[in-house]
Amino acid sequence: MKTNTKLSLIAFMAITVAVTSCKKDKKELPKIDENELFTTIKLKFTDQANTSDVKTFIWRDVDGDGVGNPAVIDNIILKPNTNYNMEVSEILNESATPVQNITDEVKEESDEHLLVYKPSLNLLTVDITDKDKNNLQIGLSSIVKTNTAKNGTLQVILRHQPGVKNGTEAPGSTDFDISFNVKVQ
Amino acid sequence: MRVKIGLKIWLISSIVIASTFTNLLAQNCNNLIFGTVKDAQTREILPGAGVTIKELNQFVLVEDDSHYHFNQLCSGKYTILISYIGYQPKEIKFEIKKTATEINVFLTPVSSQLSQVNVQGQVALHKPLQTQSQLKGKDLELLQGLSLGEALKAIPGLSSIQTGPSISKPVIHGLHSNRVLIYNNGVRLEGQQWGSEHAPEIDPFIANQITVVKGAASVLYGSDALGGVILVEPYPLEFNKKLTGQVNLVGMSNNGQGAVATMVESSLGKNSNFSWRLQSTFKIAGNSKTPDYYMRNTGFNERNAALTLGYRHSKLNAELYLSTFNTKLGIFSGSHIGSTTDLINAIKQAQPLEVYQSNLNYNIDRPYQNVSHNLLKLKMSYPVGDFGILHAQYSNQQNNREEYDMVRLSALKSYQLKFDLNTQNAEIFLDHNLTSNIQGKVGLQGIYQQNYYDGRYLIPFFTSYNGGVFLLEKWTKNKFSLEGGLRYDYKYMQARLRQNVLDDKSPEIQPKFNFDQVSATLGAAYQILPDVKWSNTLAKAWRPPAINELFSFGVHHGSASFEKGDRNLKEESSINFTSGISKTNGKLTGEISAYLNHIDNYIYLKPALLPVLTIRGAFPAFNYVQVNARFTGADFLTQYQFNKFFKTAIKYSLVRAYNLANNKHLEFIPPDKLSLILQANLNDSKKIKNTSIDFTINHYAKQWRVLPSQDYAPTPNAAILLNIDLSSQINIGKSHFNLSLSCLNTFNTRYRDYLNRFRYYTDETGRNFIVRLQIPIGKGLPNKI
Repeated sequence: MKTNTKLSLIAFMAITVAVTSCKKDKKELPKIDENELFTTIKLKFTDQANTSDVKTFIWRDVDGDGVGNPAVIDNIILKPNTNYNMEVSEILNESATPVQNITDEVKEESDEHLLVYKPSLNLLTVDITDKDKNNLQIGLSSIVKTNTAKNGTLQVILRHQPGVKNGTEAPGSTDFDISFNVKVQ
Repeated sequence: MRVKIGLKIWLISSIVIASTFTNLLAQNCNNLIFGTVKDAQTREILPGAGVTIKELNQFVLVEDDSHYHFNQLCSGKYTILISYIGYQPKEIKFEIKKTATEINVFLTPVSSQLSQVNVQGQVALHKPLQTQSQLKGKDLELLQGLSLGEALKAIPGLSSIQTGPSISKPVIHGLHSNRVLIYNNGVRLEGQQWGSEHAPEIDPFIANQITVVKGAASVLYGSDALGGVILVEPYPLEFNKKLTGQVNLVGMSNNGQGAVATMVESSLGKNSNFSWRLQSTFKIAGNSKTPDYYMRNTGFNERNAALTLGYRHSKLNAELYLSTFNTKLGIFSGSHIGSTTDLINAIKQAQPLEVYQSNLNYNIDRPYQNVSHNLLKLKMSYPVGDFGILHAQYSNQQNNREEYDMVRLSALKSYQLKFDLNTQNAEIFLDHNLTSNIQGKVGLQGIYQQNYYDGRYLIPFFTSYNGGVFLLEKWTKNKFSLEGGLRYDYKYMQARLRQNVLDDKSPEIQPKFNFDQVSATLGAAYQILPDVKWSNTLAKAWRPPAINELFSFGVHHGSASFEKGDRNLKEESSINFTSGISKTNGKLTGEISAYLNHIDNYIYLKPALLPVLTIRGAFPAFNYVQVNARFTGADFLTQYQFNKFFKTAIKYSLVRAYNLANNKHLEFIPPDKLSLILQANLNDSKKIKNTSIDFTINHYAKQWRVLPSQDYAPTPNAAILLNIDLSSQINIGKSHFNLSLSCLNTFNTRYRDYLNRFRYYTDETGRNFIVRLQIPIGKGLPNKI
């Protein structure tokens, strides 16, 4: 019967869909892809008067947001009344294998990023020296000038500002927002 | 896999059954009966009257042109029952001898004293006795072009959760997402409903009417229906029809939205057993504008199509429905935050930063969502003697959601998150008449689901099996109806994820879950007066915890919070009592209902004491926990028709929701809403008919029932908005064109909506002029006004 053939066809279609969609059972779990995760930030200080005096300080939370151990945060120890060249030498995601180096991405899209430094009162000053193609500050390189001996904190914020960077902190979103204890001694 | 085999057996047996049926049917079954239903005294037409062929248990409503039709009837003796509220029902016995039989019916109104109204046949069998509201006809037409969530706000008791201007989700009596079921043309919609920023994948243009069952309705519709059910229902497919259809055009001023929705249907030749319908919708919208600025990246577009193929042979009905829904939704760029500090800063500003204000353009950049939903449905029904109608349905849904975040080197990257959900659903049920007083439905349902993700972890892989069996019976005697139902559901789920979801080297685990519960419903209705009905429903419903409630782990960027699921969560179960009274005839009409919904083990996000420290700063942490909760509220709708020209209506709805563990009000509950509507109808002229102007004033109260500590920002202030709608039917030759003009937020009022998750960042949209034109193809579709 003609109508029977049609009905069988319709039902057959349904079965085909049913069967084919069950096939991917053995699918592997996807690789971890926290592509916006940062685990490690390294700040490199070079004494302008003595370029062999190089110190690197690390902020690190390898196991990612909200898991296990608290972060490892170095104390930044600097000399009083000294000028340093400061570089954000490495921004890494060490939870990925191989380790992701985000510094290069920030450099490549420097017109979409801004590093903001907020030292506690009278502790030190940070003058950003690098500029992007729109002549706006980036903040990967800067000059840090310390004052008299003092303890305090330095807050470092990376702002991601795709399409909205205007030289101020406000637009965009925060990629990282970390604080170091600083000892000028 | 047992379910897979079971499904195959089921399908094969349906083919066998179907072919047996078709062989049985040799008699002449191409007859038609039709006619009108009118008031015996005034000769006014009675659209909406119900006509039932008792022998076949077929039910139709009289269309708005006062006609009813039954096609494809076999010759023989039949009885039709015609009923309409406020009128004496009538039974007519007749015999079909020729191909077309006309039966015109005049109904006599009942005076309230000696009434013995038989409401049998009035309520379509498949709908429960529960409080329901419908959007259809002109009311639905005036909402065309809006999303489902937005359109449903016209019903008292409904509101919507928004994520900016492009994403909207319906809320019934304060419950939403996994606690509300949506049925798309008879298929339980399965997407990633758990996300409050995941809009339902539904094209409202397919609907001829949208019915909302308020309150728990799990017995008939399955677990999860704690808040209610939304039924998006297209026109029933008709046979013996020439090519007809309509084109809907919608334009909006605010966001430059344009929409074209086309629907054509026809049968293959005269007296054909085959019928088809094709629908398509294209929508494109640019940035939305608040009274002061355009919101950058709030455009969206939608591309949908649906094909319905109908086959009928004598008493067998078969329908194949294929649909595809595809959308790209821009998300306001000013809402993108990386930390709690970002959120606090955004709240401090009266307006988004200038860089997030834009102009009217259709660019969609990151962040955006790409969502597609494909559906295949095969449905068959066959009457089983006088006893009832047997229905069998299979559906397959593919839901694909991709989320594109604002990331570095985005030009080189695709989505950051993708979900792939496949759902197969098979059900078989019998609509039956046990005796002339008892009607009911008994059925079986099986659901198989598989979910995959790619990219960032949010929820794991999972496979689940659901089985359900139910029985619902309704007894009607004179003025009294009683309804009782029971259902049992079982759900097995196996998830697959890494022990530490953030570590590639962590071993894979496969936690298994078993959930099962009984749902029940007991309803009673009493016809106090011919047009006044009092109904009560007591229902028990439940839902298993959703996948995100069990497994979330990470920062939810939209709300700047760190969310942790709990694998030990139990099922939610609720007891829902609703009582309502409705008056359907006369100058004064309306309905009032009140409800109490007690939910045991209500799952919600509880703030944790310690924030989670991340490299983006500290995030407030939230854990999914269970408490007992109580939702109470009332919906009120009353209309008064002064005369032929003026009508007024008042709608009011309120919800109160408590966390019984600490006796505090729950967060994110809709504030009270009051609407006043004044409608003026103008006289018809030869060319222009059914012209009306509606003025609607909506008052949204301030939600003051949450403490400042329960939110980042104070709840928005109350707002009063005026909407104006002008609609008319223009007749050119034999064609009817419907034209309407609307102005939403007429005074361009600046306000924020508590249920908009982007209330922290931006105002709501401002004034919006909408123009809609409905163009008939052929004879056009049944006139909705």
